[in-house]
Amino acid sequence: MTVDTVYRIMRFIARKNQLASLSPQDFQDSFNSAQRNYYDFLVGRLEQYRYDSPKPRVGIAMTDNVMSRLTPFQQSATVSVTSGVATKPVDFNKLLSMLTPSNTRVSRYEENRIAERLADSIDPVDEENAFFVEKNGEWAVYPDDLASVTVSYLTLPTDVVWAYTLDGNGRPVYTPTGSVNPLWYDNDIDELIGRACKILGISIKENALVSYGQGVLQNGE
Amino acid sequence: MAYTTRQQLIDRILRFYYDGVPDDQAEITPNEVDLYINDAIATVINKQAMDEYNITGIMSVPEGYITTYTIPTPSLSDQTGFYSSTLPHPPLGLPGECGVVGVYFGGGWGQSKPVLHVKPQEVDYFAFMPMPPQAAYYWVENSQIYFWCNTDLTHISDSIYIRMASNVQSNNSAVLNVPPDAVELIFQDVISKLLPRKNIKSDNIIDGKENA
Repeated sequence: MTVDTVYRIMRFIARKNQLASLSPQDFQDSFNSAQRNYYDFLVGRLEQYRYDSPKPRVGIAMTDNVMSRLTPFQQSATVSVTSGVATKPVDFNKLLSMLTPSNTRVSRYEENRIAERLADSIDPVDEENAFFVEKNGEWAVYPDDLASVTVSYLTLPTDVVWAYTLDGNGRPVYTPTGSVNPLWYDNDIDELIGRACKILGISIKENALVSYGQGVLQNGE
Repeated sequence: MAYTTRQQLIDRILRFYYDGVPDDQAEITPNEVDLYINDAIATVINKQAMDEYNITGIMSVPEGYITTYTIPTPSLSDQTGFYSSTLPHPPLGLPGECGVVGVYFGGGWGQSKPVLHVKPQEVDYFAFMPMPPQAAYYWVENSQIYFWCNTDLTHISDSIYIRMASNVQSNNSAVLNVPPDAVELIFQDVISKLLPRKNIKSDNIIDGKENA
């Protein structure tokens, strides 16, 4: 679905609620915020963790339904490891898997387990039992003589842009040049529009839009 | 015909524990399961040997557990005159010293007569008793096997074969070294040790305390 179609639907909802016109900038801000919000929801919300069970109601890889919706943001890359350090791809957001060149898994460990893991007598620190620690902008990979790792990861949704030119009356007219379409599948767009309407409704203090968005969030329609 | 390999047993245990193929975050690794399997096989060998003893009155090891190894050329102790070498692993603690079933030499000429077993507690006076000229004797201490014989074992070109009950395996792609009827017992034994871990509350919080 193009960004123009999404904008048109949101203007339609706004008109339905007898609101003033929806500016391109307001549309972009609300929709982009909704995108990140929905992405975060699909990956899994921290606030839904229980003290004894770190599981959200909806989370990444929970079902194929969740994973399929995130596939537009799935990327993979072979990252070189230099002295045990692999630099994260620039568009990296959430790691799905890390494999060695031999396709064995690279397990994740937190900093506070590294000393014990390095001294472990059951799983030696070798390619077959490789592991990593996540750091800011990079991963520390063990064993440090691994040449590379293959990572599969998610990127954040790209911000949409509704590019326009001004007509003779100074009104914006859509142009595909410079526009950025949402990457989501069409069946997710309505969910995103609902969230965007809620954000917009709060912004302009319009309860009708807020309740519409709340309805989408709660009932999915 | 497909027989269960050790790797397949490891995979079956992991799939059972994780209710499917383990994900990248699985804490229990194949190496760890491998160790549990070693323990379980040793337990099951002992149980099956005792079961057979209770029925037949003869202490023996089911054939499915027996493996023949060759061991490194023995070295000679100048102080005792005994030769010693290393077993692949300590013999299983089966009654009647059934852990090692047989020892013999082998070469281009064929197989020797069996090397005779001596109990470790008999060694100290055994060495001062009259010996048949061609006989060889052995006893075992943990993973060391000792020999007494008139031939210089450090210079023989023959191999020394050890037939013993074994709970370990060097190649996980090979068929599991147990009788097929024991696979279920081993599976159950390992699972019974692993499953309680699901209910242990782990403390993953970095807060300076072992228990949150």
